[in-house]
Amino acid sequence: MKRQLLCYHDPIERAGHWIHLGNTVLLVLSGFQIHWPEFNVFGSMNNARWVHFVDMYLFVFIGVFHIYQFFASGKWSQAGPTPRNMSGLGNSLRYYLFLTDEKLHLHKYNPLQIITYLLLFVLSAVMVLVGFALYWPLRLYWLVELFGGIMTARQIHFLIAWLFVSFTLVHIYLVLMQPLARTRAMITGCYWQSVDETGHVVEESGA
Amino acid sequence: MNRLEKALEAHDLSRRDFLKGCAALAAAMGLGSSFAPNIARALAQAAERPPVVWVTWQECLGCTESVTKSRNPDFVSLVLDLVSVEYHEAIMAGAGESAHQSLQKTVSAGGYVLVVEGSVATGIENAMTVGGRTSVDIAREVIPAAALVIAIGNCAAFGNVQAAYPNPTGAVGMLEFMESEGMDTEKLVQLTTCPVNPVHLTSTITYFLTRGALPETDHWRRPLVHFGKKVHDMCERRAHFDEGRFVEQLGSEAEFNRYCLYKMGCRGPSTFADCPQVLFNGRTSWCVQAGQCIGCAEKDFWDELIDFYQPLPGIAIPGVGGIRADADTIGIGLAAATGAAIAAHFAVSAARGRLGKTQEVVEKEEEV
Repeated sequence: MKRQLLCYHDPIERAGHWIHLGNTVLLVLSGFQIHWPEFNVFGSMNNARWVHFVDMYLFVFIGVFHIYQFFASGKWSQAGPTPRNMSGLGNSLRYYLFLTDEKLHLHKYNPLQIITYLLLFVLSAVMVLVGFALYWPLRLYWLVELFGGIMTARQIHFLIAWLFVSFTLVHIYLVLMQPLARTRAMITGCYWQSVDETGHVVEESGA
Repeated sequence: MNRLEKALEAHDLSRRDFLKGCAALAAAMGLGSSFAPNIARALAQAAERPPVVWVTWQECLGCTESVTKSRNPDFVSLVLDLVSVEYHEAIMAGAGESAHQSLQKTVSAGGYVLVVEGSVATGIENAMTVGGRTSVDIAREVIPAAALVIAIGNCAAFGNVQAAYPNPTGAVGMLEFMESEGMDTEKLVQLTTCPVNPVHLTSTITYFLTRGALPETDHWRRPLVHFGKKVHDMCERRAHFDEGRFVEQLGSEAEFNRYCLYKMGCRGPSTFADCPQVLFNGRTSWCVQAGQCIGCAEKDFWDELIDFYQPLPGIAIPGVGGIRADADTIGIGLAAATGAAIAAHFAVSAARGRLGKTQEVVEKEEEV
């Protein structure tokens, strides 16, 4: 039998993940309170707006740092939508549509994952643009007009918030479909896997 | 002997006759005889003041009502102290050919203040005619020679309800019309509430007369002094919003206590105007004291801000004419659909025996 150390995420990635999660949860909760005042998480609308306006800047800073880190750390070569990383797309689609039971592991991330995170990033960028259009409607009037007026911008902002919720549900589901030791790897970075002579996994434990 | 005295002498009128005439004029204009002295003073200086041409196209005359029925000193200072209205189809004494000649005379002299009330019908041009001439035709004549164009009310600025979908007459506001005709929009000011607030009108004209320039405007050519802040940000009920006290039902105690109308669909958060400060009807009331804001200062508010009693309007479903889905329903439905998809995926995964099967990329190995 042998033990294998499987490593996924460097410390900056892990810290970024959890800070982004906490921040986005605060943004969504405060946003929902602003939309439904009776959804009273922060005590008053004033507090909810304060939380929303502080965290929106953090959201932008995290996003900018993420872009920098994505290229500076070389992560783009693993997680960027390059032809190499996209090569298993057909298999991934077939596997998740239950058209085949064979799942190829060609790279660190499967192509559907890469596409999803790319879309999430685009959605976040739109979210930020709409948000700032609503925050500075006079200064950014051209942006407000681009999104079809304040009301339409508010609708877009609200629906993207729900897409974030939707993404998070699927994300948690797919994580929970994996062994728990791997979820811990989002905190510790790595985990150990014990494999017997025939290659079967005997045990997985946190590192 | 000043010019007025000369004129009175030439017409063999006494000073008392003149004041009687002013009182009659004031009564005819619905302003009351107490305004007669002001009218007298204003008329005495008539030749020194800029002429005003006031045209009315596709509208309800509500803006004229709003201005003329305002209390001292709004319209008084406008008409009687500042300007000389040479042409106003609704309230001028002249009619027919004499009215037409008055317009022609003023237009050919140029340099007048043009007040536009109502939208221009560009689709069906004959939908709006005055004396047999279409609004497009008149607009092309009166706009270029004007020194200043003031579009009053949402009709003149954005087309208002006539321009709402499907806009059968092709109604457009001044900004769009002047841009499409290649006219200089730098001399345009739009006062976009429905109806116009007399304070906005008098303030704009006063600014022009005293400074010789237009006030600073936003991208819709609205003066920032009046349209630079949201209704919501200046609302007298704002403290209730910040503290989370809301009206949830009309007729409730919360409404009696004048709590915030946000949850009733008040459009204050989407509307730029200083209504909470200048008020209406001679500064006695405004919409939030009598109901709630429906966003009448905004472009296309009949299309964009409807579902007036919902905080966030419904979203038109593409391809299904006229059906609008509630934004809340779409959002919650999206999350529910995601949950259902997850459950379905989990069930099929279990049935296919996928649960617990994994493959990994090995980083480091050691024998144990």
